Amino acid sequence: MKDKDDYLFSPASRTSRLLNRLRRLPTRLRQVLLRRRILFVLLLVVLCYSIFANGGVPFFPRFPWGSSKFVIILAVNQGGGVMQWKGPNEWAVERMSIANKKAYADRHGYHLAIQDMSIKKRYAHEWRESWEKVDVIRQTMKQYPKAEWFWWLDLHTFIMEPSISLEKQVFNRLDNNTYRSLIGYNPLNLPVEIPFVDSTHQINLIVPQDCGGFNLGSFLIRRSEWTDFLLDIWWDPVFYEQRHMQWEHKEQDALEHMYSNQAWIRSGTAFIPQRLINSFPDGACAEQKGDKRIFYNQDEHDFVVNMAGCEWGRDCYGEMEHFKKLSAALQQKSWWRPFSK
Amino acid sequence: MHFSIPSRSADQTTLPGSPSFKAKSRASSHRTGYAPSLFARLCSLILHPAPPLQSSTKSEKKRQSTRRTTVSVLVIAVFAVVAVLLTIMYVLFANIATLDPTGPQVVLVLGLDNTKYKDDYLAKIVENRKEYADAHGYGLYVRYVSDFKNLVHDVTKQGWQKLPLMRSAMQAHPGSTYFWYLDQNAIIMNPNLDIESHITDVKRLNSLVLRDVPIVPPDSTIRTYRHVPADRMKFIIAQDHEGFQTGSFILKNEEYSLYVLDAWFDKLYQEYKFQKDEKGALEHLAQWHPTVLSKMAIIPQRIFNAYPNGVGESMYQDGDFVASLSGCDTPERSCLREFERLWDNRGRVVN
Repeated sequence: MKDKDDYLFSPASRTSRLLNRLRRLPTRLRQVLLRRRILFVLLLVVLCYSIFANGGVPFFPRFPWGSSKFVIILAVNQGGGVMQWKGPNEWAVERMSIANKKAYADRHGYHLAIQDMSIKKRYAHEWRESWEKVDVIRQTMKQYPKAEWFWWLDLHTFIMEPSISLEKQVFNRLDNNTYRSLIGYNPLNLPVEIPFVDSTHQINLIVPQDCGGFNLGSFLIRRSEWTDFLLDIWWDPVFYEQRHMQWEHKEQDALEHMYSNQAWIRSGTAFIPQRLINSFPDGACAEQKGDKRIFYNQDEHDFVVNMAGCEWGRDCYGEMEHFKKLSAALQQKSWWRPFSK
Repeated sequence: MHFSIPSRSADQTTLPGSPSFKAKSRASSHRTGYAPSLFARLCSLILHPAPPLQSSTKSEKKRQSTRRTTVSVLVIAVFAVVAVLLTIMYVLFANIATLDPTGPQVVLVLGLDNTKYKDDYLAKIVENRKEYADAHGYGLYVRYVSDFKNLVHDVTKQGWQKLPLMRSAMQAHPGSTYFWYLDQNAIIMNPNLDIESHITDVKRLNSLVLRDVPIVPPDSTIRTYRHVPADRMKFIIAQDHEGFQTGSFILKNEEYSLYVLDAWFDKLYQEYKFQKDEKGALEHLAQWHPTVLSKMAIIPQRIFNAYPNGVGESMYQDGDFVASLSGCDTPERSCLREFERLWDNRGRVVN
């Protein structure tokens, strides 16, 4: 029986009573834990799944591990239906692509910037119509001032293995995953060596090469002073005037030209094997059939498929549907993948 | 029951940290009948370095108390020493680049054309530069411009060769800060002026920079920036009445300079046949690319590129730093005569 005399002094002040309770809290907690051991273990399991499982487990509350260091720029509405009619197939393709990227970005905590690439038709011919990739990247960099890396994705791409994060696929072993020299693989026959290149420079642009040159359908660019210079010099009226008739692929060809002629660009650019972020389906680069460096390989769980050029002569909707189903089937087969971070 | 503890006061507003409070916790935990949990013990230990519950005798308590205090003091001392060491190391090594710059701070860059000019003339020019560089501890990078003729699109356009020359100089002296390109046909008339105090010091540069002047005189739309501070300027150049005067310019050793030199030297600019060759290309770059213009400083021509037969602002006067003979190979002028006159009147280093 507790009476007033049992205390050394009566805890009349509120703080002392509160502290009294707080001091008893750890012991009380321990009592509860000992009594409800099974419940505690279950809670621990749920916590582990939430923290460590990389989003593959449905209905569990999830702590996103990913950092807002990465922004995915998805270029949609290419052309905006101005030059070509956008039918139900085109809309469906766009929906599937956006949903795929949204799910991926949510899963890994990345930002997703969906940028409209419709033709404005407000510029005269000489003023960089459909050269807006560069402006869009600059604009997105302003919108996400804290992000470091920006991953540009064209519309006709599909992320086949959503459990793989960008850190795991590219950045954890950046120097091993990328190559800087054209000696091994030089599909465009660019000059292998030009003077004044600094091979120890920080990598600011990661570009895959396909059978016909650089491929800007899926590439990575880092926020830096070098990038500011690149985005400024990429379009120049003198370059454009002299070469725009030959440069079918616009920014891609301009970048290839600058890479061949300007040493500072070479210093900051690295190449990545195409199948790491930009595998092709069988229809693209058809002349190189069987080349192991180019085509999507489902047994090796390639990360992303880029259905490049599907709007000229192939069936974008059919290919997108096919890869979407394939991706779902592959995810079902490998249920342990969410834990392999 | 009463506990008779000598220092106990009956004050009802006793604060938590006081001895009576801790005595109370001991009392309560003692009465519940089991040893206090680890967490509770840690808490009480942190709040006051009291002896643990198990000790019984007073002397044992005292010994344990002193031992505990010495241990805690030792731990704090170790942490303090480690913290001090780390701070010292950080302070020393954080600024290691400025503590020990490798190479001369300023490098003079000179390109010699031995196809059009005689060797004794070239030797005099080199002697002039060397005298200046030795007096101030600057570096001197001299090459024949014919070394770079394979890189240039059109060898008859002499002006382009200075760009790979500068690039080569920057590669050769990675530790230097400033690179000053001065044309071969120019004489340093007043070698007692040093680059830092005369041009590149931030306050001095701030006073020299021409703001809101047209890139292409007299009235191009694009003009230099008004509010960019001088400490961000990395490319210092002068203008004459026609436009940029590329016979004398200073570049800082940074990413920006490599970008400007490489972009300026691009094949498509050389092939474009600008009216003023590389000067026109630079004007184009400055007007179309704000990343280039934002770090350019245009300073008055007389500071480092005066014309002896110039008019008005550009006219060379006694005591000026550099006299430039550019444009002297036209029929109305004679390079040799002008050179001889200036050469004899040049100032020498005063020790």
